[in-house]
Amino acid sequence: MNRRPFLTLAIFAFSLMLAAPNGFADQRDGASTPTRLLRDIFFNNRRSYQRNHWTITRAFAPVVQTARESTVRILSRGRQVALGTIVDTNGFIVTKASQLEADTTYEVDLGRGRKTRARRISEDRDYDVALLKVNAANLRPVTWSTVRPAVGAWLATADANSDQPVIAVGVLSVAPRQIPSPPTMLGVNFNPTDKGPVVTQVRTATAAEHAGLQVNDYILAVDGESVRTGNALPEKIGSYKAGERIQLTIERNEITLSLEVVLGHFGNNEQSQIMDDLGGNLSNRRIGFPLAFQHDSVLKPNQCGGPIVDLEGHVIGINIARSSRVASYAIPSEVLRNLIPHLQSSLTQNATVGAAD
Amino acid sequence: MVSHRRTHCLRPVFSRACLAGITCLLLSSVAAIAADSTLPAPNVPALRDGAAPIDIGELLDMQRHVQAVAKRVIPTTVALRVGQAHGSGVIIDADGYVLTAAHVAGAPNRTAQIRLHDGRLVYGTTLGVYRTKDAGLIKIKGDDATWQFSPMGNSAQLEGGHWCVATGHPGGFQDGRPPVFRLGRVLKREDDAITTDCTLIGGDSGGPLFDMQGRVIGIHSRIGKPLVQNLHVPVNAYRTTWKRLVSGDAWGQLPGEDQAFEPFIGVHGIEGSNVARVASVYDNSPAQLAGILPGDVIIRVGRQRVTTFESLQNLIKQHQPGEVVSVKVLRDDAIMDLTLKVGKRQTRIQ
Repeated sequence: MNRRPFLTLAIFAFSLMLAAPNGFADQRDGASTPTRLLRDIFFNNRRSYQRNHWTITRAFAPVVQTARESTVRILSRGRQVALGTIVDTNGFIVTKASQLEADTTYEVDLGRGRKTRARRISEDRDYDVALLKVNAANLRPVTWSTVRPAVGAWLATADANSDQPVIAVGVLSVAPRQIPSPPTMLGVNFNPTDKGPVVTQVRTATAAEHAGLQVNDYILAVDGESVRTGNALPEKIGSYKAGERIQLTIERNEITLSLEVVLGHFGNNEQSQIMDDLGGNLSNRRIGFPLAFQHDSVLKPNQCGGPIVDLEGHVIGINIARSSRVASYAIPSEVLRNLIPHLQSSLTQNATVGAAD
Repeated sequence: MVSHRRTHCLRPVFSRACLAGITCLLLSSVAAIAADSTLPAPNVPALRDGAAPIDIGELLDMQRHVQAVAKRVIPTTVALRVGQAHGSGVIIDADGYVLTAAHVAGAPNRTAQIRLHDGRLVYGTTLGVYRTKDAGLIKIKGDDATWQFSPMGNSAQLEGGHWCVATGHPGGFQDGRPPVFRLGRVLKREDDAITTDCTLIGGDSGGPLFDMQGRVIGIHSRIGKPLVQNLHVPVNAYRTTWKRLVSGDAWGQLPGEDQAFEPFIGVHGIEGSNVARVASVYDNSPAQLAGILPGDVIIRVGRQRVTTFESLQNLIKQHQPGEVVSVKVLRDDAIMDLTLKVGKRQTRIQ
């Protein structure tokens, strides 16, 4: 191969650069520094073979053009926590509920420098969909499509107002189905006492361990509600979904503390944790949806909540979770078409409505 | 087996014939004679050449072909349970031979529970395991049935950029969920493994990787942490050892016993320097969990002194993944004692 002298030279020229502290930057993060670009050209041509390489995603730009106009960014303290989908002209937006923390104000970035405060209207916990309201007119709502693509269909996720219109592409992996919801688990053994349940064991690779719960901690309350009596603790935990965030009030060494816990589920163990660790960044709330389709687009947790389209640009659903290394879930448009009017009719803040069947 | 070879030999004819649209008819008739389970070669430039699609028209053509592949290969994908191991597999001929990974089959003469794509349960017996390549074989019990299958292709013809699809049962068989479909590209082909960006996870092990004609080109084996490190056993590892596998022989050592699972702590340093200074630490790596920070100079691992970054690498290799060792680091002129649990570079998926 007559390319070899050139390659050798290139390797020589850039070996120092590679040895530099940031020279080995993980392939997954997208920033393209000059170092990175050069390295990709000379050392890592494989990158251009990747399905998410810009040489492929650029072909999808026209596909997401319409959906993009209905995609917004949801910001908290200036940082993107999710994408959102505009559902009517008067400022109603849906997004992934569990990405929003309680008692925090949110801004919606509508593009072209337009940012506005959002009010949280209601949510559906089964689907993990929240309805937000902004005061803005002339918004471009999505058109829900009931087209049902076959397995293997190309799907694309739009980004809101960025230079790169396409976040990720993938294919339909499994048609819509119920994503099972195993029982929620905190991961402690406890003995009841007058003060409340006292922790006797913290199981490994569980929510309790991650949150730093310790043996001899007294659990006084969950989200401000006392769990002192009988089976109040497991019952209260069971009323949440795996991946939801709760505040535990505990007493440790006679000091009252508040611990934030992201709940897990039965089946969490060291093996499942290894698999989760190999998945990249996953959504906390990532299993248990009454109906969702599965696709293999690689999304970040804060890129859920926006529309996903087929090759004709039909909005066939919204991304609701990055669930594992192999799976992202999206709620089909047919569900959202029924769900959103329910959410809109529930005008009290934080009210929960049931799933639309 | 003869029919697979013939199918495979026809392949160069396929790609040349594709030059003219008129030969499409010829293609389908040839394919029908060769084996009814192989799709005609794709008539889409991106799929044929392993290139990027350029516009929506090409994406649509691609999609049509990929959906046809999905329809063909999903019914031939199975979920397996052999002892404690859960995995996937693929039926590769009408007699019911099933390719899987050696670490799923385990050893010859074991009973395998086989879940067909529609959830039906049948039983099989494990045959040979070629552990060095992580190749295993299972035969569905009984001789009277004819099974829907995907024939074996030729992994030696793969090149970077070729489009491929993966199926399997990530997380194990789930009632009501058919085999899960993924699309990606070949990133690298080596003798021991094909690397793709078809993402895999536990439960996929033993499942099939297909080319765009629905032929099995690889079997899912292991993954690295980056989402683009999904490794598959090249199907030629089965073809070249077929008789031995059918006879129920077990030989070699799993890749787990060597480099793929070598001890790993997840730091990057500068080679050639006279101290083992940490330049960067991988996220969630054993080093990060131990509290090692960029800038730290590692001076001791266990009782051994560390001099250069190379000496650190050599010392780590002397430990087993899972072993807990004490580490002394120099940070801002202070010496700190840290506890490090050695990890492994790759995790075998099941």
